[in-house]
Amino acid sequence: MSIIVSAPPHIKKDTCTKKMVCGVIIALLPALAVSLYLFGLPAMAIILTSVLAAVCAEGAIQKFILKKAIPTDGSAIVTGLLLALLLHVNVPLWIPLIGAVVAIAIGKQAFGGYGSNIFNPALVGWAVLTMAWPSHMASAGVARLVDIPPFVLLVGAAFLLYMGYIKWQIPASYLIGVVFLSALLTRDGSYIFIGAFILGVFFMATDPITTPLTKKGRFIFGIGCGILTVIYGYYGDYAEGVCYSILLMNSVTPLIDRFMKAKPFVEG
Amino acid sequence: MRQIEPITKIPEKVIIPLQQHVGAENTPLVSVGDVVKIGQKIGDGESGILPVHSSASGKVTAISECPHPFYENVLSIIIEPDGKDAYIEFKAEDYSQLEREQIIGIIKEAGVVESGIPVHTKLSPSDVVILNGMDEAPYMTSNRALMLDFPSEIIDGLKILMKATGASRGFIGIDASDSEAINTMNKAAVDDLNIETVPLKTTYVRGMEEFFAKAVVKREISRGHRISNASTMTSTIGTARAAYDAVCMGKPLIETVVSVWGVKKSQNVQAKIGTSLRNVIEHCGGYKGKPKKIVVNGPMTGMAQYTDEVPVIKDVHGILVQYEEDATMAEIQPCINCAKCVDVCPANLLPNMLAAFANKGRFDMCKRYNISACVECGKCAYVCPSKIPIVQLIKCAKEWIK
Repeated sequence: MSIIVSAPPHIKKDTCTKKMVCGVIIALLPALAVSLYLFGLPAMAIILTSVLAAVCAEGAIQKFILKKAIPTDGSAIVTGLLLALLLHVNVPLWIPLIGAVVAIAIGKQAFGGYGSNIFNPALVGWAVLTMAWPSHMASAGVARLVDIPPFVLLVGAAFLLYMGYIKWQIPASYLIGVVFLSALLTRDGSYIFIGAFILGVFFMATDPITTPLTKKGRFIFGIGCGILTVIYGYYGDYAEGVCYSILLMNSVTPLIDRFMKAKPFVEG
Repeated sequence: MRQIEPITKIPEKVIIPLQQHVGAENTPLVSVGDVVKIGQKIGDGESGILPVHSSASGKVTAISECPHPFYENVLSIIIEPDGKDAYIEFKAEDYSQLEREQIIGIIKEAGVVESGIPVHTKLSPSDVVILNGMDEAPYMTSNRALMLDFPSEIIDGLKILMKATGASRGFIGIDASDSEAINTMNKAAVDDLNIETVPLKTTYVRGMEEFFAKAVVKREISRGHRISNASTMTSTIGTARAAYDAVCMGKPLIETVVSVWGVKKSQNVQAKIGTSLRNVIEHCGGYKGKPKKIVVNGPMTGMAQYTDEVPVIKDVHGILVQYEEDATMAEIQPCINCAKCVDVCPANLLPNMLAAFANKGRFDMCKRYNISACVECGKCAYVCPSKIPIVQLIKCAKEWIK
């Protein structure tokens, strides 16, 4: 009789990282569809360029530089989609191309690849583009791909929360932080709820890899994002505030985790 | 209807390991060729060591190293039953007439053990004895079966444990949704005002000793009872029954109730210590196909066996057989920090960090992240979407730190 031995547990829950990544892609589909409907072919071209560039960059780095198997986790697709949604409709196609390659190469692979990156890769790509080509990235009066009715994004967010793919504490505290602080600073809070904000709160601030592990840490992360978003938005561009606040909070995530460890439960 | 079916068929051989508890091995009291009776003490040693008894009558054919469900090979006494089923004389006592020390002595002599710990060493003075009537893991139903089949024996066993610890009150924690077991135990304990059932919501880890006692104490405090953690003694349903058998029947621990799953007829059986897993599985109709993995005790913490010739010992309460489709090994992916393990950890640890440190040999960091508080419940590895063997890595690090 040939039987195998292995360490417990001998049953495993039916989830895998690939499923979680697929879940995020599915959650983004309604937003992508509406964006394509509103902005047409240019949007389609930007999304395709960004996703293809991200996937190719990831595959090429893994295969030719690291000599590893080409990854099949699909996380590069998410990076490409998020980056594309943050861009303006009128950008030339080399913008998403460079942005996606930078996102994967510098934002992700330079840190050790999937699971090891400190910053959200899509936001790294976005930040580099914003610094390098401000004229393309800050065209006043031109819509971003994500400038769609926010409720479309909320449908996807609800799906993610229902499936348990994201840490709910982060969007909850992020929203609370923004609502409270903006109520203090301004009378009218209606400008808050734009597409980029919802995308940030539910899709980028909740990226598991770059956000705190500890339960308390997640609340601190969310509130920190909220405060930074409002402050940046008060003096500058609100959508940019969302992106920079998440990047900044990403950078302190290990620090938050270090100080927010829960007291272990010990008998007695 | 009876929940537990005794295995009456006499096996062709019985293997009784001389070590069925944590600590030093027993020395055999018999030699090859001796004829032994059921209940006869066949292994004992220095103080602090728990005796083992024969579960069969017959001839000792060998004393040699044999596979053990939890350890590597252990010196074991192999008996070939003669089919006569001859018993030694069991000396029954009335526990109400006994002193505390006498009861402890009887329980020790009967070889009663619980998760490797000799029960007599746990019987320090306490105010409250809490019996754990919850089944610790999926597929395990032996506690429930014992309560339904032997309610009055378990209440008597609880009273014996209360007397042995000097406790004035006894609680039995039972799954709140299991009204049948609660009613049965309430009925059995109806005359005794000091014994109460405590309905608790079962979550997997709550059945584990550390968390179970806390849950009961918390509930009792919330109901206005004055009770503190330090003065409680937690034990299991199986121990209460073993204590009853030892004192009221004079019978040592030679049988155990086993939940058998993944066989043709999944059920609870009462198996004699020393029966091989194969014999037990054959009693339950045999394998459903080609077995891929045989696990002793629950699926979350149980040990996978390399052969079905391993004997059932005192601490075996479950056998789970898995086949090709359940026993697949998924490929390990990098940790994505999703924190699902953090959310389920009953000890409030960061399991993924511990696993990562253990994997890199950073045992100093493991210590700093309180690795010793881990109870190895397996929930983290169960939920992990990256299929990282977190518990295995943590166990490994704990061994290194020792």
